[in-house]
Amino acid sequence: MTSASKIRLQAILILIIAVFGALFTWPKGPNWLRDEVKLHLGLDLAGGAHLIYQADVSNIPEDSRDSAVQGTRDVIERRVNALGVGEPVMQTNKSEGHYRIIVELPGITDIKQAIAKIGDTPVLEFKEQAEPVPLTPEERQEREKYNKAQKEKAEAVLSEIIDKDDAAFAEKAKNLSEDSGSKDKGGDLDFAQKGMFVPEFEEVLFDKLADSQTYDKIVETMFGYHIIRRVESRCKDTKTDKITECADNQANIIQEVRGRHILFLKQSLDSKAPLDQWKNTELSGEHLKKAAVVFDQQTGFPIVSLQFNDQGAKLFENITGSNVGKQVAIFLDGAIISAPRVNEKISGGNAVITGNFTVTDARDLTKRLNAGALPVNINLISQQRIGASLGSEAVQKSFIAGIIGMILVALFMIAYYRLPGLIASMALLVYSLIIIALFKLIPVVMTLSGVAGFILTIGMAVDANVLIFERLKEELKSGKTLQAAIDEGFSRAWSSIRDSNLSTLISAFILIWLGESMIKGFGVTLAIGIIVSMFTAITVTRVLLKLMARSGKRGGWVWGI
Amino acid sequence: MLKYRRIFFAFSGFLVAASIASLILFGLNFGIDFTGGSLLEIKTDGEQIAIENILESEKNLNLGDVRVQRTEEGSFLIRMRDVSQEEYEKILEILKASDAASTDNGIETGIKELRFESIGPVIGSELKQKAVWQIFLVVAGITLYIAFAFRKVSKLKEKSKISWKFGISALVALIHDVTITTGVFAILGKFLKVEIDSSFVAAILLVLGYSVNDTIVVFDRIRENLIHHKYSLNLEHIINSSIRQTLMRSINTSLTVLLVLFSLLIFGSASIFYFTLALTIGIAVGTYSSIFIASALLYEWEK
Repeated sequence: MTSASKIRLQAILILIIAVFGALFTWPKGPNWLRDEVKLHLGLDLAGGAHLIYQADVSNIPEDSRDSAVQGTRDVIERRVNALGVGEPVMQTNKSEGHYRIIVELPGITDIKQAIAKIGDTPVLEFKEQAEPVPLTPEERQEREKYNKAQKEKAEAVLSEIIDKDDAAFAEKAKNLSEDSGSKDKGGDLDFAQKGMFVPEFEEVLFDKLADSQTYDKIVETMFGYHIIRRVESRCKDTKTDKITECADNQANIIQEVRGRHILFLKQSLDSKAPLDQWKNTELSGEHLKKAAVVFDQQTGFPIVSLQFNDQGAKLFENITGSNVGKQVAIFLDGAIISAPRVNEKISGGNAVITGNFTVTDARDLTKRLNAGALPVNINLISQQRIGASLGSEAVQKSFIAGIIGMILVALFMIAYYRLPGLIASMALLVYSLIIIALFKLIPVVMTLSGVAGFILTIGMAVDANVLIFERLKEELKSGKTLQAAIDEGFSRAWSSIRDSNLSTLISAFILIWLGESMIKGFGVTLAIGIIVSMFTAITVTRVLLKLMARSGKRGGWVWGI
Repeated sequence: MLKYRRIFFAFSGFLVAASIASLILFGLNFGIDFTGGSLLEIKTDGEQIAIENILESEKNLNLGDVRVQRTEEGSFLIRMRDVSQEEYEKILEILKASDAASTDNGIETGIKELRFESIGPVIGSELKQKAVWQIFLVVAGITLYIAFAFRKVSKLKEKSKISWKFGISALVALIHDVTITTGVFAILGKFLKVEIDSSFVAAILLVLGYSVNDTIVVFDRIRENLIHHKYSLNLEHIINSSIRQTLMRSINTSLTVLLVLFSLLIFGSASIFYFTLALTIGIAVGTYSSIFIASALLYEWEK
């Protein structure tokens, strides 16, 4: 291949690269290639939040800290993904013995909710019944008197509404019921399956009553005196969680009854403490190893199985051992979710929660328990949040500044170096197209300082050309032919170009290595810019210069002498 | 050039002395990156509200010193101690309430939060440490780079100590550049409340990397000419012609970079104005010192 055709080939290659660069640089990107290729904007440009959490690992043995923090990170990631934020970034980081979890949420609008979600640590507690405090005979007498009065009140109300319709019942419940949970809803207990209520109550609601009936007796439970009305009923498939036709012989189809009640509270005769007084045990979510959804083999109901760690297993054994025949309550976030009666001492560290769960409820609970079971507390120690409006303004301004800067550089190069200056300006254009395409394709996350770094490289990219052209001038002045002067200029300027870029790259790499995210962005665009500009400023300029030199005359005004 | 070296020395000496004086007198106004604290930027539609008074009078928040600054775009930058998420929400509530009261119409509060940063003191001191490390590593890297660039100079002249004098002069020129840039920011910090943050450190590091090269190019030419003329000419003449030969190259490479920096200063985003300014000052001073100071130092030393 002759050197002339070689240069022509190189020129064509450069043209192709430039066209590709232009296609990707174009705002929409080449739609025919794949979906729109976009510039990835960092938090400061797209808006969003940068959160740094510190993990409290003081309770965790040294050798399992890494995995505990990693596990916490994973949980946070799942929670963040549930928020539906675009491209969140989660990292863990250990610095001087501090474990950090860094969460970046670009484009998020409701940061408050996100912070709440991430920091949500469900508290799982196991409680046992408080020891009853014996009553004095006088107190006992007084309570008996009170309970009798309550029962009479209940009977009076029952006789009043036994024949009335549902609306009247609801009205009465609203006015008189002492069940704070259902009172305002007219005593409505919503659809419920068997197992939700105390046995005495359940027996009446499910077995003795038909729909739209009020039970004609007062029902006494541990809470007090109930007037019970069954409103309606339906059937549900526990597998699909959907309402279906009722069928008798299918284990997965169960009945749900909606009832109302009016409650008149009674006072306990055994204990001074209120009836639902629970006492904390040492066992908590901290001792939980794993929670999982399983299905009850007999009923097909979803239940939540818990597996404790060694310490938890021991505690659980002690608690069940000392509470045989009594209830042990499981509290989640301060609310009771289940209070099973202990039948025997349980060893081995496995337990189940048989609340009245739907499959979805059980899954949610398991997820939360698994998250809450992580012993690592996290603490938000630093946050940055940037509104999107601030960023888009910055993008626009930087874009304009970049264009103007490029025009200024081009004008200067053309005015000073004439034809070679024009060629350098063309190389600069090619450089910009290639680099933006690269930023989009790699992709490089653009921060505001990263954009500044890129614009800075526009000024630096022509440095190599300045070095070459100054050499070229010298060579031309010393009487060499144009072709020889170009060859000599390029080869003699190379070591200066390499050295000057090397020293700037030292700074850029240290910024990438040690800088925090925004500064890192500056280092990254700077380093990529410097490396790419070496290619464009040398290769592109040389090919174009040689192409011109073949037709042009040696020396003269156009070559800047 | 060397003829006028006393003028350049006097000029640089004055700048460095003034910089050191302002560093001692004013100190540096470190940003929340390094000290910990929070920064809230808000925009209001209504009349300017007395944010300082409102927040400082909120005794149960115990915010202490609250500093408010109005930006060119008309938003407010509020600086205070680092606050927790709950405290931050309370602050926003208070500001929204008082804005509604001052605009009087009370229909819709015009306060919009543009950004919020809160950096705990632990992170602050860590970032500070990292910045120190960065500076140390860049200086070490550049020293190695200078040593590498002048590795051949030691072969020049057996008895001459000129080889390491090249390196030391280049380093002194760099210290000169950094001192003056930092000095300017000490003054800006005192009078315009401009803060030293991690982006300032990044700018300084880049200036170090970029400027050292101009010096080395001049020195490289001096070395070449020394060899070429076999030390037959006097040093003053060699240095002068070396500077002349590389002058346009040094000026033009810096000028193209300064052109884009000016464009960023004038048309770019306000949030990186001072970052760009640090780069501009640093690179301008760096170019000046590599042309007029570094070789003059070398000459003073070697003559």
